[in-house]
Amino acid sequence: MNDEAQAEDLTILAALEALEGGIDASGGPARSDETAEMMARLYTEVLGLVPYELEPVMPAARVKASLMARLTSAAAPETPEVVGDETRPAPVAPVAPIPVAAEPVRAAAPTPAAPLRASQEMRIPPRMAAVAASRPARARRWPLALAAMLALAMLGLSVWLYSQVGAQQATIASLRNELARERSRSEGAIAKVRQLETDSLDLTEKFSLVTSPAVLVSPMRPVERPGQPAVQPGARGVLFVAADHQHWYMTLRGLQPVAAGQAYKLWFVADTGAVSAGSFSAQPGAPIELSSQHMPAGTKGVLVTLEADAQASAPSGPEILRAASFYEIS
Amino acid sequence: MNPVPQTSAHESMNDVALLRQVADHQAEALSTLYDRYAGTLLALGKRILGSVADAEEVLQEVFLHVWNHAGRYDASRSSVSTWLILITRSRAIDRLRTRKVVERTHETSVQENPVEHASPEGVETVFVNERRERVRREMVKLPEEQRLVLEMAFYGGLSQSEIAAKADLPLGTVKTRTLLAMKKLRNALRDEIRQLL
Repeated sequence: MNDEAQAEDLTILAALEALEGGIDASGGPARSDETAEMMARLYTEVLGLVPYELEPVMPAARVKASLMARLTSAAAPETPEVVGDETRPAPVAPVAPIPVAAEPVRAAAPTPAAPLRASQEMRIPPRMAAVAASRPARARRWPLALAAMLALAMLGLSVWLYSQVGAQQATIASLRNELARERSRSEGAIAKVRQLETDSLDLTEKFSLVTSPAVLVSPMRPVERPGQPAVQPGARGVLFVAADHQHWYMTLRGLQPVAAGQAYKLWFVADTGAVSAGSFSAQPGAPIELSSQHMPAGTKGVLVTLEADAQASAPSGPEILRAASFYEIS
Repeated sequence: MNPVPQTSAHESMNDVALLRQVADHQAEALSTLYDRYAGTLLALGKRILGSVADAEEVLQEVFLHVWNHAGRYDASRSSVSTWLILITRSRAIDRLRTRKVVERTHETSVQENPVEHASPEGVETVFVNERRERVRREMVKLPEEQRLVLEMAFYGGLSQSEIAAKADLPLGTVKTRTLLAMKKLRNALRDEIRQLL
């Protein structure tokens, strides 16, 4: 037990130190095994719960608006690529370079025997130019028609590709939803496993306590006064106290449900008086389990009372159960 | 960028599923996560920094960090809620140290007017509110001296040695009180922790 307690203390201190180590180091102690890892995780979650004591402060709407705007700008470098891939039509640029005006002239000119040098100028004989100029307009229009047909074909292809991209996007979105559902399902299963692990850890702790050779055991019995019957004669319980007189575990049965406003309270009775160990309620037929790592020094008795005020600082209601004398199992 | 808005689906999603979508840069998922936790995180920032304006800047930094690094989240180490809270705490403490505003923290926090509350709807939000009630109840039960050292460590960002020096207490006493507080909270908040695991 001492080793375990010491390990737990080290885990807590390590979790606190890990807070200073940076946001991605939370939960930080060295994990030697799964139990230690689980312990570290539990205390990390304890730290994560602390701020819930604070009254929430809802931010102004402009904060969220500004954040979402920053997200958009933060994602801007990726945007052109994605938008371009998804929406840009298929390339139609090849249509543009068709030399519409020069084509008739070039077609009419004789094929040069050798490539023109840079310093040479293409000179068209005046007669040839005159013939070219006098050709019917019909002859000069066929490249335009060809270009228009090519442009239309490209446009059609673009529309088709665009519709294909849209269909693929819908498929991707559908698959993404499916993936999210599956992830959610698997995470639910993981959460259940985690819960079972926690329960197992609790059970292990209780088991090690109640089976410890030096554990002190005391039955909790209904309190009877001379001439007065017990308030709840059917109530029973057992208290286990570890050898360190700090860690204890109690199980109670047969307590009746209380009326609204009332609560059962557990008291540790020491020389200095009764110290409250907390309040609890009861459900019909359901056993109650209580445990803690601490018991006041000098505790000589344990008492369960029924109080009208759950915040009562001293026992004032009827006594329901009282621990009989402790005895040691060996 | 996000071709298919999924507003209704997001609201009922658990935190981890939302974070996965944030990792895929789905802004709607981040928006839902923001609505779910902004109130708590802003309260934490304000508690540490003493100023709503500073806390709002931290809140934006936190969610930008989440947007850019959601993939770093490790579900085996903490819940999403705890992850967000520890990021916020870390950023706020950094800012607190940088600006050296420790002295004016309490004055400012008292002076500032409370901000209007506009609780978002949703089942998850109801869970968060219930969690808040339970935590508050248990924190109040802590003995004053234990609560104090825990607050100095968590909200003040002080190490155990620094707390000992500031509170003029032996280091061993500070450690003992911290350990007791943490263990009590762990036992008292067992059900809450289970929900987070």
